[in-house]
Amino acid sequence: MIRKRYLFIALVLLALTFICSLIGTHIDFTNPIQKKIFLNLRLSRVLLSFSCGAILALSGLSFQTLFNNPLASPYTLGIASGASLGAAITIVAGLNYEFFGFSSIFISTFAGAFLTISFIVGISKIKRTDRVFVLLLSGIAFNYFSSALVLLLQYIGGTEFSFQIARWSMGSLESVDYSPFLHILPFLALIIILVFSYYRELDVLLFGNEFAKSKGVEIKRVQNRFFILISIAVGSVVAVCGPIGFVGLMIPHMARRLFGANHLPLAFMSIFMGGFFLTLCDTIGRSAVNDIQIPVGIITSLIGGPYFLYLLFSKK
Amino acid sequence: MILKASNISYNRILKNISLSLEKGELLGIIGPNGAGKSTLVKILTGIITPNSGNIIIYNKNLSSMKAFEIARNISYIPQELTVLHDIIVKDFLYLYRYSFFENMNKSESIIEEAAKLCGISCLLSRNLRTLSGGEKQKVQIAGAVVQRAGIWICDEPTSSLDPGAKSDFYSMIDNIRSKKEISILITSHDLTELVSRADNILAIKDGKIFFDGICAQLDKDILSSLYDSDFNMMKYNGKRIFTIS
Repeated sequence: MIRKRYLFIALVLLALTFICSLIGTHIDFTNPIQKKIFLNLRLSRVLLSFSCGAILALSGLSFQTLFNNPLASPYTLGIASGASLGAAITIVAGLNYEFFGFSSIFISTFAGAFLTISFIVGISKIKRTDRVFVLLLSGIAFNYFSSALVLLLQYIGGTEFSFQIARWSMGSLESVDYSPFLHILPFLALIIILVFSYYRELDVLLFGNEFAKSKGVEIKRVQNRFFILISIAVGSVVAVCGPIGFVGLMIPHMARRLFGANHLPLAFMSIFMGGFFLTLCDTIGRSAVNDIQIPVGIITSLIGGPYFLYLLFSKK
Repeated sequence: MILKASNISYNRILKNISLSLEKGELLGIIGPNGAGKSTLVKILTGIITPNSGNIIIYNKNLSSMKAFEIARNISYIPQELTVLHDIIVKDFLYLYRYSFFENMNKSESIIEEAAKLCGISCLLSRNLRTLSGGEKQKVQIAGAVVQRAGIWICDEPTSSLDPGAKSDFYSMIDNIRSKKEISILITSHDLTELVSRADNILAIKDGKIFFDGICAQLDKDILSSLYDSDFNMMKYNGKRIFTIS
Protein backbone atom coordinates (compact mmCIF):
# COMPACT_ATOMS: atom_id res chain seq x y z
CA MET A 1 0.00 0.00 0.00
CA ILE A 2 1.22 3.48 -0.84
CA ARG A 3 0.65 5.60 2.23
CA LYS A 4 -0.93 9.07 2.23
CA ARG A 5 2.43 10.56 3.27
CA TYR A 6 4.00 9.30 0.06
CA LEU A 7 1.14 10.66 -2.04
CA PHE A 8 1.62 14.05 -0.39
CA ILE A 9 5.38 14.07 -1.10
CA ALA A 10 4.71 13.00 -4.70
CA LEU A 11 2.25 15.87 -5.15
CA VAL A 12 4.76 18.34 -3.70
CA LEU A 13 7.45 17.08 -6.12
CA LEU A 14 4.99 17.35 -9.00
CA ALA A 15 4.15 20.93 -8.01
CA LEU A 16 7.86 21.80 -7.73
CA THR A 17 8.41 20.29 -11.18
CA PHE A 18 5.73 22.56 -12.60
CA ILE A 19 7.26 25.57 -10.80
CA CYS A 20 10.56 24.74 -12.60
CA SER A 21 8.81 25.47 -15.88
CA LEU A 22 8.10 29.02 -14.67
CA ILE A 23 11.75 29.70 -13.80
CA GLY A 24 13.79 31.64 -16.36
CA THR A 25 12.77 34.51 -18.62
CA HIS A 26 9.47 35.95 -17.35
CA ILE A 27 6.45 34.77 -19.30
CA ASP A 28 3.47 37.06 -19.76
CA PHE A 29 0.53 34.68 -20.04
CA THR A 30 -1.73 37.43 -21.40
CA ASN A 31 0.48 37.61 -24.47
CA PRO A 32 -0.59 34.81 -26.87
CA ILE A 33 2.90 34.47 -28.42
CA GLN A 34 4.60 34.17 -25.04
CA LYS A 35 1.91 31.74 -23.92
CA LYS A 36 2.59 29.64 -27.01
CA ILE A 37 6.33 29.76 -26.31
CA PHE A 38 5.68 28.58 -22.75
CA LEU A 39 3.45 25.71 -23.86
CA ASN A 40 5.64 24.54 -26.74
CA LEU A 41 9.10 25.14 -25.33
CA ARG A 42 9.00 25.19 -21.53
CA LEU A 43 6.15 22.83 -20.71
CA SER A 44 7.14 20.26 -23.33
CA ARG A 45 10.72 20.38 -22.00
CA VAL A 46 9.59 19.89 -18.39
CA LEU A 47 7.35 16.95 -19.38
CA LEU A 48 10.25 15.42 -21.31
CA SER A 49 12.75 15.86 -18.45
CA PHE A 50 10.27 14.50 -15.90
CA SER A 51 9.57 11.38 -18.01
CA CYS A 52 13.27 10.74 -18.72
CA GLY A 53 14.19 11.22 -15.05
CA ALA A 54 11.45 8.81 -14.01
CA ILE A 55 12.58 6.15 -16.51
CA LEU A 56 16.24 6.48 -15.44
CA ALA A 57 15.38 6.32 -11.72
CA LEU A 58 13.11 3.26 -12.10
CA SER A 59 15.71 1.54 -14.27
CA GLY A 60 18.49 2.24 -11.77
CA LEU A 61 16.33 1.00 -8.90
CA SER A 62 15.54 -2.26 -10.71
CA PHE A 63 19.12 -2.88 -11.87
CA GLN A 64 20.59 -2.26 -8.41
CA THR A 65 18.19 -4.86 -7.02
CA LEU A 66 18.65 -7.38 -9.85
CA PHE A 67 22.44 -7.14 -9.81
CA ASN A 68 22.52 -6.89 -6.03
CA ASN A 69 25.03 -4.14 -6.57
CA PRO A 70 24.67 -0.54 -5.34
CA LEU A 71 26.88 0.67 -8.21
CA ALA A 72 24.62 -0.72 -10.93
CA SER A 73 22.95 1.96 -13.07
CA PRO A 74 20.71 1.94 -16.15
CA TYR A 75 23.92 1.97 -18.22
CA THR A 76 25.51 -1.06 -16.49
CA LEU A 77 24.83 -3.36 -19.45
CA GLY A 78 26.63 -0.97 -21.84
CA ILE A 79 23.41 0.47 -23.29
CA ALA A 80 24.67 4.07 -23.27
CA SER A 81 27.89 3.14 -25.09
CA GLY A 82 26.00 1.11 -27.69
CA ALA A 83 23.61 4.00 -28.23
CA SER A 84 26.53 6.48 -28.41
CA LEU A 85 28.15 4.31 -31.07
CA GLY A 86 24.90 4.38 -33.06
CA ALA A 87 24.75 8.18 -32.72
CA ALA A 88 28.43 8.61 -33.67
CA ILE A 89 28.00 6.46 -36.80
CA THR A 90 24.96 8.52 -37.88
CA ILE A 91 26.76 11.83 -37.26
CA VAL A 92 29.98 10.82 -39.06
CA ALA A 93 28.11 9.16 -41.94
CA GLY A 94 26.01 12.31 -42.27
CA LEU A 95 22.75 10.32 -42.29
CA ASN A 96 19.74 12.59 -42.05
CA TYR A 97 16.34 11.06 -42.62
CA GLU A 98 13.03 10.70 -40.89
CA PHE A 99 11.03 7.50 -40.47
CA PHE A 100 7.46 7.66 -39.07
CA GLY A 101 8.32 10.92 -37.33
CA PHE A 102 11.50 9.50 -35.73
CA SER A 103 14.79 11.23 -36.62
CA SER A 104 17.81 9.32 -37.95
CA ILE A 105 19.72 9.91 -34.70
CA PHE A 106 16.79 8.54 -32.64
CA ILE A 107 16.59 5.41 -34.76
CA SER A 108 20.35 4.75 -34.80
CA THR A 109 20.86 5.34 -31.05
CA PHE A 110 17.84 3.20 -30.25
CA ALA A 111 19.13 0.48 -32.58
CA GLY A 112 22.58 0.78 -30.91
CA ALA A 113 21.02 0.26 -27.49
CA PHE A 114 18.87 -2.65 -28.66
CA LEU A 115 21.73 -4.43 -30.43
CA THR A 116 23.89 -3.99 -27.32
CA ILE A 117 21.37 -5.66 -25.04
CA SER A 118 20.81 -8.48 -27.55
CA PHE A 119 24.57 -9.03 -27.71
CA ILE A 120 25.08 -8.95 -23.92
CA VAL A 121 22.13 -11.25 -23.15
CA GLY A 122 23.32 -13.56 -25.98
CA ILE A 123 26.77 -13.80 -24.40
CA SER A 124 25.27 -14.61 -21.00
CA LYS A 125 23.47 -17.57 -22.56
CA ILE A 126 26.75 -19.06 -23.85
CA LYS A 127 28.31 -19.14 -20.38
CA ARG A 128 25.64 -20.59 -18.14
CA THR A 129 27.15 -20.21 -14.69
CA ASP A 130 27.26 -16.94 -12.70
CA ARG A 131 24.85 -15.30 -15.13
CA VAL A 132 24.58 -11.95 -13.37
CA PHE A 133 28.35 -11.73 -13.02
CA VAL A 134 28.80 -12.51 -16.74
CA LEU A 135 26.23 -9.86 -17.68
CA LEU A 136 27.93 -7.27 -15.48
CA LEU A 137 31.42 -7.93 -16.84
CA SER A 138 30.24 -8.23 -20.45
CA GLY A 139 28.56 -4.83 -20.05
CA ILE A 140 31.78 -3.29 -18.74
CA ALA A 141 33.86 -4.90 -21.52
CA PHE A 142 31.40 -3.71 -24.17
CA ASN A 143 31.48 -0.22 -22.63
CA TYR A 144 35.23 0.06 -23.19
CA PHE A 145 35.04 -1.49 -26.65
CA SER A 146 32.32 0.80 -28.01
CA SER A 147 33.84 3.87 -26.30
CA ALA A 148 37.04 3.13 -28.20
CA LEU A 149 35.07 2.90 -31.46
CA VAL A 150 33.37 6.24 -30.71
CA LEU A 151 36.79 7.81 -30.05
CA LEU A 152 38.07 6.32 -33.31
CA LEU A 153 35.12 7.83 -35.19
CA GLN A 154 35.76 11.20 -33.50
CA TYR A 155 39.43 10.99 -34.47
CA ILE A 156 38.86 10.14 -38.12
CA GLY A 157 35.73 12.30 -38.41
CA GLY A 158 37.52 15.61 -37.91
CA THR A 159 36.80 18.60 -35.67
CA GLU A 160 33.22 19.29 -36.70
CA PHE A 161 31.97 15.73 -36.24
CA SER A 162 34.06 15.37 -33.11
CA PHE A 163 32.33 18.42 -31.59
CA GLN A 164 28.88 17.14 -32.59
CA ILE A 165 29.51 13.74 -31.00
CA ALA A 166 30.96 15.32 -27.83
CA ARG A 167 27.99 17.72 -27.60
CA TRP A 168 25.52 14.83 -28.04
CA SER A 169 27.22 12.85 -25.27
CA MET A 170 26.71 15.74 -22.80
CA GLY A 171 22.94 15.17 -22.96
CA SER A 172 20.27 17.68 -23.84
CA LEU A 173 16.57 18.13 -23.18
CA GLU A 174 16.03 20.92 -25.66
CA SER A 175 12.76 20.49 -27.54
CA VAL A 176 10.59 22.71 -29.71
CA ASP A 177 7.39 20.66 -29.49
CA TYR A 178 5.82 17.67 -27.75
CA SER A 179 7.14 15.01 -30.13
CA PRO A 180 10.21 13.97 -28.00
CA PHE A 181 7.92 13.68 -24.95
CA LEU A 182 5.40 11.66 -26.96
CA HIS A 183 8.22 9.36 -28.16
CA ILE A 184 9.24 8.73 -24.55
CA LEU A 185 5.74 8.35 -23.08
CA PRO A 186 5.04 4.73 -24.19
CA PHE A 187 8.39 3.65 -22.76
CA LEU A 188 7.61 5.36 -19.45
CA ALA A 189 4.28 3.49 -19.37
CA LEU A 190 6.09 0.25 -20.22
CA ILE A 191 8.61 0.54 -17.39
CA ILE A 192 5.98 1.62 -14.85
CA ILE A 193 3.83 -1.42 -15.73
CA LEU A 194 6.90 -3.66 -15.54
CA VAL A 195 8.13 -2.47 -12.13
CA PHE A 196 4.66 -2.37 -10.57
CA SER A 197 3.88 -5.87 -11.87
CA TYR A 198 7.03 -7.30 -10.35
CA TYR A 199 7.54 -5.27 -7.15
CA ARG A 200 7.13 -8.36 -4.94
CA GLU A 201 9.79 -10.23 -6.91
CA LEU A 202 12.12 -7.23 -6.52
CA ASP A 203 11.48 -7.22 -2.74
CA VAL A 204 12.67 -10.83 -2.51
CA LEU A 205 15.52 -10.42 -5.04
CA LEU A 206 16.98 -7.63 -2.88
CA PHE A 207 18.34 -10.37 -0.61
CA GLY A 208 20.17 -12.23 -3.36
CA ASN A 209 19.36 -14.70 -6.10
CA GLU A 210 19.78 -17.79 -3.93
CA PHE A 211 17.39 -16.40 -1.32
CA ALA A 212 14.86 -15.39 -4.00
CA LYS A 213 14.97 -18.76 -5.75
CA SER A 214 14.46 -20.63 -2.50
CA LYS A 215 11.40 -18.46 -1.81
CA GLY A 216 9.88 -19.33 -5.19
CA VAL A 217 10.90 -16.51 -7.55
CA GLU A 218 11.42 -17.58 -11.20
CA ILE A 219 14.67 -15.62 -11.36
CA LYS A 220 15.60 -16.16 -15.00
CA ARG A 221 12.18 -15.12 -16.28
CA VAL A 222 12.15 -11.97 -14.13
CA GLN A 223 15.74 -11.09 -15.07
CA ASN A 224 15.14 -11.51 -18.81
CA ARG A 225 12.02 -9.36 -18.79
CA PHE A 226 13.75 -6.62 -16.83
CA PHE A 227 17.02 -6.66 -18.80
CA ILE A 228 15.28 -6.44 -22.16
CA LEU A 229 12.42 -4.06 -21.36
CA ILE A 230 14.53 -1.71 -19.24
CA SER A 231 17.21 -1.59 -21.91
CA ILE A 232 14.60 -0.68 -24.51
CA ALA A 233 13.22 2.09 -22.26
CA VAL A 234 16.68 3.43 -21.40
CA GLY A 235 17.61 3.19 -25.09
CA SER A 236 14.68 5.49 -25.87
CA VAL A 237 15.87 8.03 -23.27
CA VAL A 238 19.42 7.99 -24.66
CA ALA A 239 18.04 8.30 -28.19
CA VAL A 240 16.07 11.42 -27.27
CA CYS A 241 18.36 13.17 -24.76
CA GLY A 242 21.79 11.54 -24.90
CA PRO A 243 23.44 9.61 -22.07
CA ILE A 244 22.46 11.55 -18.93
CA GLY A 245 24.41 10.18 -16.00
CA PHE A 246 23.92 9.93 -12.23
CA VAL A 247 20.08 10.08 -12.11
CA GLY A 248 19.76 6.29 -12.29
CA LEU A 249 22.56 5.80 -9.79
CA MET A 250 21.74 8.46 -7.22
CA ILE A 251 17.93 8.60 -7.03
CA PRO A 252 17.48 4.90 -6.05
CA HIS A 253 20.02 5.38 -3.24
CA MET A 254 18.22 8.47 -1.99
CA ALA A 255 14.83 6.74 -2.25
CA ARG A 256 16.00 3.64 -0.36
CA ARG A 257 17.38 5.82 2.38
CA LEU A 258 14.14 7.75 2.74
CA PHE A 259 11.53 5.07 2.05
CA GLY A 260 13.09 1.73 3.03
CA ALA A 261 13.41 -1.58 1.19
CA ASN A 262 9.82 -2.17 0.02
CA HIS A 263 9.72 -1.73 -3.76
CA LEU A 264 6.09 -0.59 -4.06
CA PRO A 265 6.53 2.78 -2.32
CA LEU A 266 10.17 2.87 -3.48
CA ALA A 267 9.26 2.62 -7.16
CA PHE A 268 6.38 5.06 -6.75
CA MET A 269 8.61 7.66 -5.10
CA SER A 270 11.48 7.04 -7.55
CA ILE A 271 9.21 8.16 -10.42
CA PHE A 272 8.64 11.55 -8.81
CA MET A 273 12.14 11.97 -7.35
CA GLY A 274 13.86 11.06 -10.63
CA GLY A 275 11.47 13.23 -12.64
CA PHE A 276 11.89 16.22 -10.34
CA PHE A 277 15.69 15.86 -10.06
CA LEU A 278 16.24 15.83 -13.82
CA THR A 279 13.85 18.76 -14.30
CA LEU A 280 15.65 20.71 -11.56
CA CYS A 281 19.05 20.01 -13.15
CA ASP A 282 17.75 21.08 -16.54
CA THR A 283 16.24 24.26 -15.06
CA ILE A 284 19.59 25.10 -13.47
CA GLY A 285 21.34 24.35 -16.77
CA ARG A 286 19.11 26.62 -18.83
CA SER A 287 18.78 29.50 -16.36
CA ALA A 288 21.93 29.63 -14.19
CA VAL A 289 24.06 31.49 -16.73
CA ASN A 290 22.60 34.18 -18.97
CA ASP A 291 22.46 33.33 -22.69
CA ILE A 292 24.13 29.94 -22.18
CA GLN A 293 22.35 26.61 -21.85
CA ILE A 294 24.60 24.24 -19.95
CA PRO A 295 23.93 20.62 -21.09
CA VAL A 296 21.89 18.77 -18.48
CA GLY A 297 24.36 15.85 -18.30
CA ILE A 298 27.00 18.22 -16.93
CA ILE A 299 24.64 19.52 -14.21
CA THR A 300 23.46 16.05 -13.11
CA SER A 301 27.07 14.92 -12.69
CA LEU A 302 28.16 18.16 -10.99
CA ILE A 303 25.35 17.84 -8.42
CA GLY A 304 25.23 14.04 -8.34
CA GLY A 305 28.94 13.38 -7.75
CA PRO A 306 29.35 15.37 -4.50
CA TYR A 307 25.88 14.39 -3.26
CA PHE A 308 26.68 10.73 -3.81
CA LEU A 309 29.85 11.10 -1.74
CA TYR A 310 27.83 12.87 0.97
CA LEU A 311 25.35 9.96 1.02
CA LEU A 312 28.21 7.49 1.31
CA PHE A 313 29.95 9.20 4.21
CA SER A 314 26.85 10.31 6.12
CA LYS A 315 25.40 6.78 6.18
CA LYS A 316 25.15 5.41 9.70
CA MET B 1 9.14 -41.30 1.40
CA ILE B 2 8.88 -37.54 0.86
CA LEU B 3 12.27 -36.88 -0.74
CA LYS B 4 14.27 -39.33 -2.80
CA ALA B 5 17.41 -38.40 -4.72
CA SER B 6 18.90 -41.00 -7.06
CA ASN B 7 22.36 -41.08 -8.65
CA ILE B 8 23.04 -37.35 -8.44
CA SER B 9 26.21 -36.25 -10.23
CA TYR B 10 27.41 -32.69 -10.73
CA ASN B 11 30.57 -31.78 -12.65
CA ARG B 12 33.43 -33.39 -10.74
CA ILE B 13 32.03 -32.40 -7.36
CA LEU B 14 29.37 -35.10 -6.79
CA LYS B 15 29.37 -38.68 -8.07
CA ASN B 16 26.27 -40.88 -7.93
CA ILE B 17 24.83 -39.66 -4.64
CA SER B 18 21.54 -41.23 -3.58
CA LEU B 19 19.60 -40.44 -0.43
CA SER B 20 16.08 -40.47 0.93
CA LEU B 21 14.18 -38.64 3.63
CA GLU B 22 11.17 -40.02 5.46
CA LYS B 23 8.36 -38.02 7.05
CA GLY B 24 9.54 -36.57 10.37
CA GLU B 25 13.11 -37.80 9.88
CA LEU B 26 16.25 -35.80 10.69
CA LEU B 27 19.05 -36.72 8.31
CA GLY B 28 22.53 -35.45 9.11
CA ILE B 29 25.04 -34.99 6.31
CA ILE B 30 28.67 -34.84 7.35
CA GLY B 31 31.99 -34.75 5.57
CA PRO B 32 35.21 -32.76 5.34
CA ASN B 33 35.36 -29.29 3.75
CA GLY B 34 35.10 -29.50 -0.04
CA ALA B 35 33.37 -32.91 0.06
CA GLY B 36 30.37 -31.51 -1.87
CA LYS B 37 27.82 -31.06 0.96
CA SER B 38 26.83 -27.51 0.01
CA THR B 39 26.58 -28.43 -3.69
CA LEU B 40 24.29 -31.33 -2.75
CA VAL B 41 22.11 -28.98 -0.71
CA LYS B 42 21.85 -26.52 -3.61
CA ILE B 43 20.84 -29.36 -5.94
CA LEU B 44 18.21 -30.65 -3.50
CA THR B 45 16.72 -27.16 -3.16
CA GLY B 46 16.60 -26.65 -6.94
CA ILE B 47 19.11 -23.77 -6.87
CA ILE B 48 21.45 -25.66 -9.21
CA THR B 49 20.59 -28.40 -11.68
CA PRO B 50 22.57 -31.68 -11.54
CA ASN B 51 24.25 -33.14 -14.65
CA SER B 52 22.50 -36.45 -14.05
CA GLY B 53 20.18 -38.16 -11.60
CA ASN B 54 16.74 -37.21 -10.43
CA ILE B 55 15.03 -35.93 -7.32
CA ILE B 56 11.49 -36.85 -6.36
CA ILE B 57 9.60 -34.72 -3.85
CA TYR B 58 6.14 -35.86 -2.74
CA ASN B 59 5.99 -38.10 -5.86
CA LYS B 60 6.85 -35.22 -8.20
CA ASN B 61 10.07 -34.71 -10.13
CA LEU B 62 11.93 -31.62 -8.88
CA SER B 63 13.05 -30.66 -12.41
CA SER B 64 9.42 -30.36 -13.56
CA MET B 65 8.34 -28.25 -10.58
CA LYS B 66 7.97 -24.48 -10.76
CA ALA B 67 10.01 -22.36 -8.32
CA PHE B 68 6.94 -21.52 -6.19
CA GLU B 69 5.97 -25.21 -5.94
CA ILE B 70 9.48 -26.07 -4.70
CA ALA B 71 9.30 -23.22 -2.17
CA ARG B 72 5.99 -24.53 -0.82
CA ASN B 73 7.63 -27.90 -0.15
CA ILE B 74 11.22 -27.04 0.76
CA SER B 75 12.59 -24.39 3.13
CA TYR B 76 16.27 -23.63 2.67
CA ILE B 77 18.31 -22.34 5.61
CA PRO B 78 21.80 -21.25 4.48
CA GLN B 79 24.98 -20.88 6.56
CA GLU B 80 24.30 -17.26 7.33
CA LEU B 81 22.05 -14.45 6.31
CA THR B 82 23.83 -11.57 4.61
CA VAL B 83 21.72 -8.44 4.91
CA LEU B 84 22.86 -5.29 3.14
CA HIS B 85 19.61 -3.34 3.43
CA ASP B 86 17.56 -1.97 6.29
CA ILE B 87 14.38 -3.97 6.80
CA ILE B 88 12.32 -4.75 9.86
CA VAL B 89 12.12 -8.43 10.81
CA LYS B 90 8.34 -8.63 10.30
CA ASP B 91 8.63 -7.31 6.72
CA PHE B 92 11.50 -9.70 6.08
CA LEU B 93 9.48 -12.70 7.29
CA TYR B 94 6.70 -11.66 4.93
CA LEU B 95 9.10 -12.41 2.03
CA TYR B 96 8.94 -16.08 3.04
CA ARG B 97 5.25 -16.04 2.04
CA TYR B 98 6.10 -15.07 -1.56
CA SER B 99 5.16 -18.48 -2.97
CA PHE B 100 1.61 -18.16 -1.60
CA PHE B 101 0.90 -14.88 -3.48
CA GLU B 102 -1.08 -13.44 -0.60
CA ASN B 103 -1.16 -9.99 0.94
CA MET B 104 0.47 -8.88 4.18
CA ASN B 105 -2.78 -8.88 6.22
CA LYS B 106 -3.34 -12.57 5.55
CA SER B 107 0.26 -13.43 6.40
CA GLU B 108 0.40 -11.39 9.59
CA SER B 109 -1.08 -13.99 11.94
CA ILE B 110 1.14 -16.72 10.41
CA ILE B 111 4.23 -14.54 11.01
CA GLU B 112 3.24 -13.74 14.59
CA GLU B 113 2.51 -17.39 15.34
CA ALA B 114 5.90 -18.46 13.92
CA ALA B 115 7.71 -15.72 15.86
CA LYS B 116 6.03 -16.94 19.06
CA LEU B 117 7.03 -20.53 18.36
CA CYS B 118 10.66 -19.51 17.77
CA GLY B 119 10.75 -17.05 20.68
CA ILE B 120 11.49 -14.03 18.51
CA SER B 121 8.30 -12.02 19.04
CA CYS B 122 10.42 -9.29 20.66
CA LEU B 123 12.55 -9.03 17.51
CA LEU B 124 9.67 -8.49 15.05
CA SER B 125 9.96 -4.71 14.98
CA ARG B 126 13.79 -4.64 15.03
CA ASN B 127 15.98 -3.82 12.02
CA LEU B 128 17.30 -7.15 10.69
CA ARG B 129 20.73 -5.63 10.00
CA THR B 130 21.27 -4.85 13.66
CA LEU B 131 20.66 -8.43 14.89
CA SER B 132 23.45 -10.76 16.03
CA GLY B 133 24.39 -13.87 14.05
CA GLY B 134 22.43 -16.11 16.45
CA GLU B 135 19.34 -13.90 16.27
CA LYS B 136 19.52 -13.87 12.46
CA GLN B 137 19.58 -17.67 12.41
CA LYS B 138 16.50 -17.70 14.67
CA VAL B 139 14.82 -15.37 12.17
CA GLN B 140 15.72 -17.83 9.40
CA ILE B 141 14.11 -20.68 11.34
CA ALA B 142 11.01 -18.54 11.92
CA GLY B 143 11.09 -17.89 8.16
CA ALA B 144 11.10 -21.62 7.48
CA VAL B 145 8.06 -21.97 9.74
CA VAL B 146 6.36 -19.09 7.92
CA GLN B 147 7.11 -20.75 4.57
CA ARG B 148 5.15 -23.79 5.84
CA ALA B 149 7.19 -26.34 3.87
CA GLY B 150 7.33 -29.95 5.03
CA ILE B 151 11.04 -30.34 4.26
CA TRP B 152 13.78 -28.18 5.77
CA ILE B 153 17.23 -28.23 4.22
CA CYS B 154 19.88 -26.52 6.35
CA ASP B 155 23.41 -25.92 5.08
CA GLU B 156 25.85 -25.68 8.01
CA PRO B 157 23.38 -23.44 9.87
CA THR B 158 25.54 -23.10 12.97
CA SER B 159 28.99 -22.69 11.41
CA SER B 160 29.22 -18.98 12.24
CA LEU B 161 27.62 -19.16 15.68
CA ASP B 162 29.20 -19.13 19.15
CA PRO B 163 28.65 -22.23 21.36
CA GLY B 164 25.69 -20.65 23.20
CA ALA B 165 23.94 -19.63 19.98
CA LYS B 166 24.65 -23.09 18.53
CA SER B 167 22.98 -24.76 21.48
CA ASP B 168 20.00 -22.35 21.18
CA PHE B 169 19.69 -23.24 17.48
CA TYR B 170 19.48 -26.97 18.14
CA SER B 171 17.08 -26.51 21.08
CA MET B 172 14.83 -24.52 18.79
CA ILE B 173 14.94 -27.27 16.17
CA ASP B 174 14.02 -29.83 18.89
CA ASN B 175 11.14 -27.64 20.04
CA ILE B 176 9.75 -27.23 16.52
CA ARG B 177 10.12 -30.94 15.74
CA SER B 178 8.13 -31.75 18.86
CA LYS B 179 5.27 -29.53 17.65
CA LYS B 180 5.33 -29.91 13.88
CA GLU B 181 5.97 -32.92 11.72
CA ILE B 182 8.78 -31.73 9.52
CA SER B 183 11.58 -33.63 7.81
CA ILE B 184 14.99 -32.03 8.21
CA LEU B 185 18.24 -32.47 6.35
CA ILE B 186 21.20 -30.75 8.04
CA THR B 187 24.78 -30.56 6.84
CA SER B 188 27.07 -29.75 9.73
CA HIS B 189 30.43 -30.21 11.43
CA ASP B 190 28.77 -30.27 14.89
CA LEU B 191 29.16 -34.03 15.23
CA THR B 192 28.05 -34.26 18.86
CA GLU B 193 24.90 -32.15 18.38
CA LEU B 194 24.02 -33.88 15.12
CA VAL B 195 24.65 -37.44 16.27
CA SER B 196 22.53 -36.93 19.39
CA ARG B 197 19.52 -35.86 17.27
CA ALA B 198 19.74 -37.34 13.79
CA ASP B 199 17.88 -40.50 12.84
CA ASN B 200 20.31 -41.27 10.02
CA ILE B 201 23.70 -40.03 8.91
CA LEU B 202 25.09 -39.72 5.41
CA ALA B 203 28.84 -39.09 5.15
CA ILE B 204 30.34 -37.72 1.93
CA LYS B 205 34.01 -37.72 1.00
CA ASP B 206 35.42 -36.52 -2.34
CA GLY B 207 31.91 -36.28 -3.79
CA LYS B 208 31.03 -39.93 -3.06
CA ILE B 209 28.98 -41.59 -0.33
CA PHE B 210 31.38 -42.76 2.38
CA PHE B 211 28.84 -43.89 4.96
CA ASP B 212 25.07 -44.22 4.94
CA GLY B 213 23.31 -45.64 7.96
CA ILE B 214 21.66 -45.10 11.29
CA CYS B 215 23.38 -42.86 13.81
CA ALA B 216 24.25 -45.68 16.21
CA GLN B 217 26.46 -47.28 13.53
CA LEU B 218 28.69 -44.23 13.29
CA ASP B 219 31.84 -44.80 15.30
CA LYS B 220 35.26 -43.28 15.80
CA ASP B 221 36.88 -45.46 13.13
CA ILE B 222 34.48 -44.29 10.41
CA LEU B 223 34.98 -40.66 11.48
CA SER B 224 38.78 -41.10 11.61
CA SER B 225 38.97 -42.28 8.03
CA LEU B 226 36.33 -39.75 6.89
CA TYR B 227 38.26 -36.76 8.22
CA ASP B 228 41.78 -38.33 8.06
CA SER B 229 42.26 -37.58 11.77
CA ASP B 230 42.27 -39.70 14.93
CA PHE B 231 38.88 -39.50 16.60
CA ASN B 232 38.03 -40.55 20.15
CA MET B 233 34.56 -41.17 21.49
CA MET B 234 33.26 -40.82 25.03
CA LYS B 235 29.85 -40.90 26.61
CA TYR B 236 28.47 -38.10 28.80
CA ASN B 237 24.87 -38.01 30.06
CA GLY B 238 23.99 -40.64 27.49
CA LYS B 239 25.36 -38.47 24.67
CA ARG B 240 28.17 -39.70 22.44
CA ILE B 241 30.88 -37.05 22.23
CA PHE B 242 33.50 -37.20 19.49
CA THR B 243 36.84 -35.49 19.95
CA ILE B 244 40.08 -35.44 17.98
CA SER B 245 43.09 -36.77 19.86
